Amino acid sequence: MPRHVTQVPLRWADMDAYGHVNNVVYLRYLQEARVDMLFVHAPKQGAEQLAEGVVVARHEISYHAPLHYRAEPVRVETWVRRVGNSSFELGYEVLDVDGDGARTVYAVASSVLVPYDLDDAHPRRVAHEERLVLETFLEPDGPEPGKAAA
Amino acid sequence: MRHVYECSVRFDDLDAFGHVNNVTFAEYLQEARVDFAHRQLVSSGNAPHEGSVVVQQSIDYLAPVPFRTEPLQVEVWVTRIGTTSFEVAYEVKDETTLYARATGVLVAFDVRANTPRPVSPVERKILERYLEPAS
Repeated sequence: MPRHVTQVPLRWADMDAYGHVNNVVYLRYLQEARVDMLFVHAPKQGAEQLAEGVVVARHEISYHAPLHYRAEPVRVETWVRRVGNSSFELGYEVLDVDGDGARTVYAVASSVLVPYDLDDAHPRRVAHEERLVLETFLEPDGPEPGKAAA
Repeated sequence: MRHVYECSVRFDDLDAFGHVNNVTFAEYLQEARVDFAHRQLVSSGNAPHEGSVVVQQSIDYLAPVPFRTEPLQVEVWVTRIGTTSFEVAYEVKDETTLYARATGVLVAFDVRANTPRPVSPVERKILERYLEPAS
């Protein structure tokens, strides 16, 4: 299955006093990719409701290599790890791919997301058309954020 | 023992859904961790270049945070101390509600030499004071 690809521009102020992109900002890059996938791409495929409310129930992220400011965007690949009844899980890699196809991975992450009815302040079930769109990105055995210390 | 950081919520921490954005919780954790490091570690003789970097993090979001003028409490404590790394746990809460639980793996890092380093004896002594099992 294909992954959703988002080119995320870096900002100079994404770096902290250590001179590398701060750990929190990686979650912001994931959010940019997720919003692009769920709120921009998915509605065009027929899953309009996703843009109306999805909340994050859990994030997990492993940091593999430091990122430094550069003019070129960083690539975020996003895929679907699992689609449940009232939640689904995304996997992500933040990386560069060079001309030969070699991959430099900066972070691996996953998120549990819950479709949410904002008017009723209530979680809701994954709709049939949402499931169809999400399943086009299904990759249950993709890389996962590790638990061991580097 | 837990370190408690009083964390103000800023108006622009809220997103279009009217609650504190998920990314901002990671900022709150970072503020609590840095507050802990500055108050407990730097003041006890750790040199400023003896920092640490985050290598792994997980956050469970349990309840939404709408705008508020009262600060949140972010509790941070230590769950494991290794040779070059240590692990922390966090809770973001107020008197009535637990909003998020999180864990982090940190590697002691020499900022000047740009390389990992062992946890120093001074650090170990202080970290041990905050050692508690994960909740």
